[in-house]
Amino acid sequence: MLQIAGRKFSSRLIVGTGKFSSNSVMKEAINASGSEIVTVALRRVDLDNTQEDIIEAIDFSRIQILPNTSGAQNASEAIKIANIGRNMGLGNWVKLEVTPDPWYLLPDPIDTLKATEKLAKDGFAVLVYMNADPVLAKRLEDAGAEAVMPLASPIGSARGMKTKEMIRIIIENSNLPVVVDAGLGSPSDAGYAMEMGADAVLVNTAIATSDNPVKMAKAFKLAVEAGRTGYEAGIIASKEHAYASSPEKGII
Amino acid sequence: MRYKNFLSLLEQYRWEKVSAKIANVKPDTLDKLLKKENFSVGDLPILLSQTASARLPELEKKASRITTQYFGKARFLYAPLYITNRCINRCVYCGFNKNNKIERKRLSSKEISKDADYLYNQGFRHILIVSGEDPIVMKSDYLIDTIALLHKKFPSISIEVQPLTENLYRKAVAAGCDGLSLYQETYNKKVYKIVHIGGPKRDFRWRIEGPERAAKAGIKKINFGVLLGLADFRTDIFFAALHAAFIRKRFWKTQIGFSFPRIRPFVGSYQPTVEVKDRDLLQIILALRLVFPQAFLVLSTRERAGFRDKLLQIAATNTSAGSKTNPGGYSDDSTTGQFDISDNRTPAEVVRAIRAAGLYPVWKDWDIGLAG
Ligand code: SF4
Repeated sequence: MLQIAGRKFSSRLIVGTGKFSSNSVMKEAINASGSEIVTVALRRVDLDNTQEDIIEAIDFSRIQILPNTSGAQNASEAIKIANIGRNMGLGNWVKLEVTPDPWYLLPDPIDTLKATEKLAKDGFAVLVYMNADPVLAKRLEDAGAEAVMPLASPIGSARGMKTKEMIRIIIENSNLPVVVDAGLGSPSDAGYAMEMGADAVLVNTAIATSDNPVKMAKAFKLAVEAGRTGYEAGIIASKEHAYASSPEKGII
Repeated sequence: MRYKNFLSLLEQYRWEKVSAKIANVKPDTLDKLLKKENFSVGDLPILLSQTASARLPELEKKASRITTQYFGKARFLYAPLYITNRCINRCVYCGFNKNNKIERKRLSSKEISKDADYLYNQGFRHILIVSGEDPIVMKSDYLIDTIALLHKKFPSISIEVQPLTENLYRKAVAAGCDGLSLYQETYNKKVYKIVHIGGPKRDFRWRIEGPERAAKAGIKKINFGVLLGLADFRTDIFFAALHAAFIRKRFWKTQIGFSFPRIRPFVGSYQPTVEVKDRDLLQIILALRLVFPQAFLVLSTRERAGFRDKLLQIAATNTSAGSKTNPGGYSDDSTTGQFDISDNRTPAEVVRAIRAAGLYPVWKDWDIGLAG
């Protein structure tokens, strides 16, 4: 079972909420995904406007809400937003995102580390969005993070596991759960990350913007389960060269 | 090469040459370009050309895919709040022009709160403060106080006022302003002088350097644009894009966007010298989306309802709704607006249309914690 910050989850698929066409489609997709952790951008949360609010659409009894600090460009903004979320009553989990560059939304390693230290000290369970940097992953672990979330490729790009060599090292070295985040475009990408030994994956764009988000959520669920099961079974080493399974020798 | 400011980059270009380049795009060149996946500002003369206008369905397909990739189904709402229509400029195309005999009004903080409450209750969380070039903005804390007042309720505040000093932009940021709309109107210096016949706005340079001062001061989002109808729009949009791209590279934390004001009927007699048709506006929006996948593309209620809905579906990301363009207009609609509104739907009706198009209306996309 997946365990993060002392809580256990049977699903290893975390889903995002930012890009759906409506709350009802989102709800259905979350159900189909089987996900028990759902991330929500705090900058979108508006408790004053209940008809439009994402929070209203999420079933708290079953789902751990993971507020994120998207939009924060530095440590102090991220810390401020995280506290606003906690004060709203959204709990002490936070997905830390510090992205100074509004274009590719790549995380700032320095301010991410600073914010992690501070938030962990202040009692938050910090799950950290980060570039796939194995040394940074260890530094975040030392700083008190509860999980590291390295990106597979730039957010929204659907390019798949472009950082796989670095993620491999992160998984090998980490004492924390490793959640592969951002850039997973297809179920097979997610399956691949799970086969490598990732503890979980986070998917948003690929589900929310597909032609059929509910079906796609299900596809990711199956892929994550398949990948994890494969990992647990012990996948045989891939071969460098292809060998014909029925040798040609002797045919002629 | 690294230019010390945008003006020195601009000086490397000749308007006529860019126009000629756009006018002489061969179908072959376009064919080749459309095979690419990523586009740059250097591709804009081709994408904005007459030649490309015959291929809008293809551009539309690409642009809509890119928009979905970066923005998903989310579309963002904002409302303009006009605080004063006093103006010392004489822009020939504008109803607030100093020479126009209209009732002038500068809202008190009480009046501002009244309009603001109305907008808040409609659902808005992003306000665009708009004003004429009222000298009080430069001489006092009127604007800064207004930002601070509105920021108590609204997480996101943008301004569309005269170009400010870097120091004033800094104060605006500290008071809670995160966005700036500052349109050059036209990048053609000759036309610029002709249409700005009096007042401080005649200073082309002070205006064009505004975005650099604002970015330095820490404004997070800057909107560029030209007033469509003043000069050859294809060339003008190219320069606006060049400007935005310059700011983006120089001030890498600044988000950029574009607006597309077309000249609308107003009190006065100016007629646009260049006609910009719906399909031209569509082409502009598609071309900019291809070159700037992550840019905000912003619509106003100058455009008709059906057309706005269509643009939002394809590539535009932000829209106002139920706008009034006269100070105090939300509580008392007796004064004249800056321009006529084409889309008279209420915010609720606009939201319904957004939903019907399979899109998600987002009122709040910013947090108090992100400002100041
Ligand atoms: S465009 Fe602006 S500066 Fe020019 S007259 Fe109108 S309000 Fe004044």
